[in-house]
Formats: sequence, structure tokens, C-alpha cells
Amino acid sequence: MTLPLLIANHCLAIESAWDNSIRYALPGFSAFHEDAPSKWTMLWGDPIPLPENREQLYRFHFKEGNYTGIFSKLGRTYYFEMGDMTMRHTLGNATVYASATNDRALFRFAVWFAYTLLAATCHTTLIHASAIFCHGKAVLFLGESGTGKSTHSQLWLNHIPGTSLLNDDSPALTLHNGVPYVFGSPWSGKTPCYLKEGFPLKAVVRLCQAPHNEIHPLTTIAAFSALLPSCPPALTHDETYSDLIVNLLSAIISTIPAYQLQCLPNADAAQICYQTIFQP
Amino acid sequence: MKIDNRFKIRKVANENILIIPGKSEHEKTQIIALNETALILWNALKGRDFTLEDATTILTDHFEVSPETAQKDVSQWIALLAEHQIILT
Repeated sequence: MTLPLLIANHCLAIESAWDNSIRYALPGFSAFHEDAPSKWTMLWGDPIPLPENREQLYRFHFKEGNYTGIFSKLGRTYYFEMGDMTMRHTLGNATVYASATNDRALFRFAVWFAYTLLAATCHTTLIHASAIFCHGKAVLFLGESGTGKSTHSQLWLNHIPGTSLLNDDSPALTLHNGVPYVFGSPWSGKTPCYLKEGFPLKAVVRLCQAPHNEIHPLTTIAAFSALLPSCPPALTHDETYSDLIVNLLSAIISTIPAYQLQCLPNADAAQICYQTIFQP
Repeated sequence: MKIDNRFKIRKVANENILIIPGKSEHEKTQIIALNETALILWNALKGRDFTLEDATTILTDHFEVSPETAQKDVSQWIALLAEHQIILT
């Protein structure tokens, strides 16, 4: 079966001979199904042979399935292995090859990973953030896990009229004719919010917990330092992919204001953040 | 000593930066912004072996600064980059 997904204006077709229930088994994917001509293909099939002399770039622990993920490369070809799944992609190529897995969490993550590999060459990335939209503009909330990104989005939904959630874990950040946009994606963490819409980015806000509410603008370097660790870490451990991500972020911070919000989990935090961004 | 050729300067908005990726998923990525002086040193010294004197001379050639002051600045620059294993001594 083929499942074409349109994410942030890029169409990725997932092709597989082994399972026709992918579309229904994965929450969120069906909302992105669109019979558009696909730019990229993720082909699920036989195991990918891994060359012995590949260079390891990044290794991490994937909590959802208790797996170790390893990202490596040899020349211009990248490899990713996790559990029983292996993946191969040659930079500049339109196809990602992956070996079949029956683990749903792994499958979901593998599609996420494949999308980031392909999209990076088209100034697009998935970013670890919570995103809302308000008056037709998107706002990204960044911060390390546990800082309250989802909580802060929820405060906007409750206290700022006209606000909706766009994505709660991994929205897509992209440039559309040079203008920064945020799109929803099929990956939204624990919150089932699967919107394929995109909105121009109004502001980026780095959250940190504090015993008070206070907001101030970030310098270029501080804004970059807030955004970079929120981008896919495997990619930022490779020089070529780093260049692509850095160029995207550079374009974002040159045009979009970034703030640091020291905050409590209360209505006042959302109010001062909203006023600073939308009513300066 | 030598600048590790795995590091390169990247242009972000109007800043020149170095990215030091964390070695594991638990180690934070660090970002160093280079000022004009640091950038001159980097461009003049990358890709070759150099001494403290070589680096000091670059500053005294570029700026009206005493060799003592230049050496003090250069020592700080080297110490910071060596701490992050960007300069290998």
C-alpha cells in the first residue's frame, strides 16, 4: 500500500508491501493523507545491510520502546538503526529505505526520522516545541522536557481568546517563500492534536520555570541557543545536516522576535506573554 | 598547538559562531560566539600548527596593541578553546 502524507507542504509517500493497516493503526497519520504528487518516498522492505566501517554520529535512548538508536554515515549515505529496524538514505536522494518492523512506536518514530532527513534539504525541520495559533499567527514555546511547554500552551487556550493548539510536541518549522511558518504534524506527543494547517510564525518563546512572571527579548545568540537544541539532535551531530539546520534557524532569527519567559503556571504568565507578542 | 579541523565557523544572522555538540544525548550542545578579534585569530591560524608567539603577532599586526596586552588576550582565547578541545595543545 502507499500512504501519501502532506506535512508542511512536502509530500512524503510511505510505501509498504507488508501492512495495509498503517493508516489506521497510527493516530494522526490519516489527517495528513493527501493524494498529492509525492516529492519523497519512504520504502519499507528488506533489512538494510550496514557497512562495518560506517562512522557513528549520534547514539541515544528511545524511551517509548526502550531501544537504543544509532545514527551513522559512510560518505554521503546515512544509516539509522533502532531495535529490528534499519534505515538508509543518501543525501540528495528522494527515497529513504527502511526495513519492516511490527512495533508501532518504532514505526512512528522511523517515519519522523525519515521526514527530518528529507525535509532538512528543503529548509524544513520538525522541532521539539509546543505550538499555538492566535489571530492567524503561530507562536512556538521551547524549553527542555519538563519545563511546562504544554502547560503554557494550555494557559493560552484557557485565558487568551482566539487561541488554538497547533501541535504539542513536534511541529514543523519551515520557510515558505522566505517567510517562517509553523505547521502541525502527525507527531504531537501525548496530546492528540493532528492539524495539517500552517501559520506564519509570530514569535519564539523560551520557557523557564520561576517564582514570578517576567518576559524579555533574547539576543540573536540566545535565540539560536534556544532553537538549536530543540532541533533533531541526530542531525545536528552531522556537519552537513548541521549546516542545513543552522541556515534555517539563521533565517528564522533574522526575522522573528524571540523571548525568554520566566514563568509560573498561571493565567498571568499567558497574559504577559500574549501582550508582549501581540500588543507591544 | 592546532585548531581541530572538525570545527568550523558558522554564520548565524550577523554573528560568527562555533557549535560544540554534546558528546552524548545527556551532554548539552554549547555555542560560542566569536568577536572580531577571535575571528581574525581563527582565520589566520586554522589549518596549521602555531605557537603563542605566532598568535600574539597576528594581534599586534592587526591592532595598535602592546605585545603584553596582545599575549594576554591570546592566552585567554587559547585557554577557552582548549577547554572545549577545539584547540589541541
